[in-house]
Amino acid sequence: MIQLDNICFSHIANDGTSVPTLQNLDMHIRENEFVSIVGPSGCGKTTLLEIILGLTRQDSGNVRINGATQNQTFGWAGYMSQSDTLLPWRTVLRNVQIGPEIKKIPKTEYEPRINKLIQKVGLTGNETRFPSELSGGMKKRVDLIRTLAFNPEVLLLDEPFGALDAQTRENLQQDLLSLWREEKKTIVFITHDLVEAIMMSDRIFLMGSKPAGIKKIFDIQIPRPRQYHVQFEESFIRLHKHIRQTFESLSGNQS
Amino acid sequence: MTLDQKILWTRISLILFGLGMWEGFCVCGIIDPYFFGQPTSICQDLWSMIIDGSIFFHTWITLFEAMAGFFLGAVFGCVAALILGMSPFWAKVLDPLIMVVYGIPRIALAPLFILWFGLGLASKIVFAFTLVFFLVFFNTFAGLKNMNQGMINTIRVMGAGRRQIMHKVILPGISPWVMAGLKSGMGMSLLGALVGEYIGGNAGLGWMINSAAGLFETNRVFSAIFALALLVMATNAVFNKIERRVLKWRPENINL
Repeated sequence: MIQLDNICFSHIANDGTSVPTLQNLDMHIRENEFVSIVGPSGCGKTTLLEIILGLTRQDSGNVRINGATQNQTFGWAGYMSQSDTLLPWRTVLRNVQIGPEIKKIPKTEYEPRINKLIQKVGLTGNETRFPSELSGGMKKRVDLIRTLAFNPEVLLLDEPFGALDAQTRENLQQDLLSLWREEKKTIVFITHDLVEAIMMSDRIFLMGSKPAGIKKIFDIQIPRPRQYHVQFEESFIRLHKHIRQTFESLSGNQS
Repeated sequence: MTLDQKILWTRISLILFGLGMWEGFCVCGIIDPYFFGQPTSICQDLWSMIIDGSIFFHTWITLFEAMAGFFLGAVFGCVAALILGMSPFWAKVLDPLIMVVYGIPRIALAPLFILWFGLGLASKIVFAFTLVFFLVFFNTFAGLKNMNQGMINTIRVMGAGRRQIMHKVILPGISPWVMAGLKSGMGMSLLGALVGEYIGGNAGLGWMINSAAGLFETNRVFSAIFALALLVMATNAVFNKIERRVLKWRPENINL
């Protein structure tokens, strides 16, 4: 589905020097797979996502989506960035509609789908409100179903639930998992929270920094559906410990 | 009595009190109505100009010049900012030139405009235009520079082309900035029309003020100022209404 070969990328620092961010990075993501990318902050996770999306161009190496070289082709993926990118002048409903609108999908076709999505994440009754009138959790819900509304094959989510309180976060995780189960999408999920990564993913890609590449891949074989309490089971805790230790030995600083 | 009514009546009483003091001072001879005007005489003068319609004519002239300059300045200011915003090359080339032209006190150019475009409406419209243009231009440009890159990226990833990004993200995104530019541009366009009439003209409220002051017709000056104040209030009210409609998505109360 998504194939990265030998990706290198350097960014130009403010003083003009070029700093290698990604070096010889290989990655292969299968269809309908839920993968997480975990790594220390500043290691280039967002850059990696932007390269996959075609928003940033790699210095060398190859990105292939379904076998075709990624050459700034858009429209195949839904993208949720770290920051709030809802359009503040559009109501909840019109924000969710933006994807189908851009793809010129007829209203009769997308309307039932959007209504179902809104209901699914519990936003019914808020359709005519503006983003400035919503709580943080509600905004994230709108953002999540906005990326799904035009039915892309792939979702690329960059720390989507980063700034939320624990309770809202768990609800949204479960929402995302059940949407993924129903819709059968390929999801690439960036997080710095190991528990979240284990909870959600089929596989976890562990990134290291300076320069970054994929250091280790973990298969998560905890049976699905996974409920919130899975994280208190012994197998989960063992796995968490193991990944944590690998993570710390890679990043070097024992925190 | 509701609070709103209370506010209204207090306001009216304040105005009446002020006018009463003014009138009283004139009657008692504390101030000379020949230089300072007198409310009752101003009312008489206004009434006579309402009867013969001349106040409406001159107000309309000034309004027309201001609005024509305003619309031209708004459209060209917006378009110029969008073009330069989309093309960093031309933005760099033109940046110092724009700053130089902007830096020239426009009032120094007013006599030139009178020479080039005559004593009629055209010179005032051009003058108002030069004032409005830069305000709208700089505001729109600042709006473009402050666009949220993440917003554009998410929409681009969905497959939006340049036109769609322009329509669905950039134009609505800069609308608060453009509105702010238009709002100050509105005041500036009236100022431009007025100053144009001062410097050389044969109609309009600016001309009326200037010529009446030359003849020591103080009451006439105040009549024109009164008409001008009403005009500013009316245009502001209309503009605020439009602004509230366009920017109704913005949270209204911000506690500072």
